[in-house]
Amino acid sequence: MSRPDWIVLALTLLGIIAYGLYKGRTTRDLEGYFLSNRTVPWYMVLLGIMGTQASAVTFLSAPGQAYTDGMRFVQYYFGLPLAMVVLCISFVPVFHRLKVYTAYEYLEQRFDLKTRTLTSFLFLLQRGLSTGISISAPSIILSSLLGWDIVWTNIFMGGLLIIYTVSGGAKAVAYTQQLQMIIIFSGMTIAGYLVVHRLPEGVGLSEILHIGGKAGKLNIITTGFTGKRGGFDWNDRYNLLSGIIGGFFLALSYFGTDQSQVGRYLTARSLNESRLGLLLNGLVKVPMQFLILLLGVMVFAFYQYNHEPVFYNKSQLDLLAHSKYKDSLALVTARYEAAESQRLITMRNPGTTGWPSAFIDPSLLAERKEALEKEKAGYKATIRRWLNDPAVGGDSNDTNYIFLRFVTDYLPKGLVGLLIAVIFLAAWGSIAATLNSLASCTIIDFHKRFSSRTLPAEKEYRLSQLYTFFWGIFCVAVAQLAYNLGNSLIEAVNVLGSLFYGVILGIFLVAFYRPRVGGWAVFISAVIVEIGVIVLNILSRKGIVPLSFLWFNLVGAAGVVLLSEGLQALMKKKI
Amino acid sequence: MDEDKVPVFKSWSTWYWLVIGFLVFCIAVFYFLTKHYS
Repeated sequence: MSRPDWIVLALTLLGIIAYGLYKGRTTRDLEGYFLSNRTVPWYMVLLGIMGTQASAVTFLSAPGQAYTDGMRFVQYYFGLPLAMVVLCISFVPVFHRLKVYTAYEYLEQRFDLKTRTLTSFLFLLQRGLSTGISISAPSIILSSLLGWDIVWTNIFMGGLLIIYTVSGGAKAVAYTQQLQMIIIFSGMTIAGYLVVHRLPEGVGLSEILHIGGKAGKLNIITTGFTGKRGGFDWNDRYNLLSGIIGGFFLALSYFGTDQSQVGRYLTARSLNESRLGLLLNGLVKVPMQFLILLLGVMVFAFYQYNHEPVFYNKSQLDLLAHSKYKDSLALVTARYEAAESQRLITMRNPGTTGWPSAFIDPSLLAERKEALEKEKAGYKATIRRWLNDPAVGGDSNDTNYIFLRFVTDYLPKGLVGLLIAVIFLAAWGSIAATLNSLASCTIIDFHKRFSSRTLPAEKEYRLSQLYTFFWGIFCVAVAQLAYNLGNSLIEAVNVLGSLFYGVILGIFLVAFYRPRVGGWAVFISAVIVEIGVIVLNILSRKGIVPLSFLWFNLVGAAGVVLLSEGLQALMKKKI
Repeated sequence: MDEDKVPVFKSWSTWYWLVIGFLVFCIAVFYFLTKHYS
């Protein structure tokens, strides 16, 4: 990175910390620290909800995913808008009326202490680990691409935000998220404009869509009926049906029962403003995700006219250059570069004047281009195969590196620093909200609930700051551990969320909609169904049961509702 | 209770129709893009 980039990066990050410290001043009690004295307006609730959901990987991974797999990932969010309406009618008014700090407090009032404690514990376990990963994942990408030390990158990614989160609690989180989202949207808009601006004259948005469409990147709607004999493929992650049904249950669970989100809309100054923030989130999320994915298609079109690297993660090529494939790599890279040069000539100078678009090339030229594309794909596949060799121990997936590689290779000085800052801010917004929620659950659901001593408000406030600090350090330590253990831990933690969300949602659905079901019935059902979902996941990973993880949410939620009804009928008496 | 009023509209059914209509519109536009540019 150049000096202007470092200056922009440092000023942006320091500015956010200073803003958080300045705006985070609040009353020194639990109400002020965790609920911002319920003074946050609807538009800040909206930005807070969006900032909590969108992590650094959202902005790194989504464009790369569109580049490689196409835009069908947007279907993942189709169930979200409807889930927001259901939440606003059922969950949110109950949380407001009972004036709870955490969603799990309600479960004790509705069922009993053990159900509340189990649910809160599952949240702490899953969120504590997954937040560590959300620090680690972007840190690994930045350190690989920019040659930064991983320990320091982890500390900057997950450590600096602790300063304002510990100091100002929910209020600091809300105000910084507002500013962070404005910077993130501005940075991504500028990046999108520059991609189009740097394309040859005569190639605009329409041509980008044609190029993307021709290459299969505009697969926005897919039915999922790609299984055997045209049947539905239950293992297909992103399609219309899994997006609407699976996505609905996932969104209901995430926004209704995950304290990192519940904690955002509980800070609103009224029930109406909580609801407005959630409902508008439902309306903006799908178009926002569409635009982020479209950026990936734009980058894809950009690389049709510009040199495309053989592999986007440079550090993995360095790894191969020091392995037994050293000589073969040099040969393959040279051949790849020759094919890429020829392809660029066919794109830029086909014998006609100016810059033609690929889709109107004469057939002979198109054939030549296609042959070169196939040749390139062969070289790329070879490199991936080498990286998968256990003797090399590399990472053959470079999807997450595509967008950032474009940024560092092609964007002007200063703007690279801003885009790197965008990655940091996206991570900070999400992590800060989570640290706040982890601390609120620890003190409200465990410390205060199980301690026989009543502490003065000032002491509770100090203790909350201490718990926030503890969770911050814990998450940075998990991030470092994730780096040391490699992909195995990251995959395990990613699965962890989808294993618990359905069951937790099931407990809340019983609480809201099945009044005759008591504590024991729901508790036993939750334990049994949780074991069932874990077994299902093992069978799915072994390929015995073909089922994508999005369906686990539906299975978990429906399992708890049905089993608890059955158990309650057997028990007869509500206990 | 005034606090429990529906935001912006008079009833929740309007929100349901708005959200479903918006989703149908998005899916229709995305379907058109998928088919037209494939």
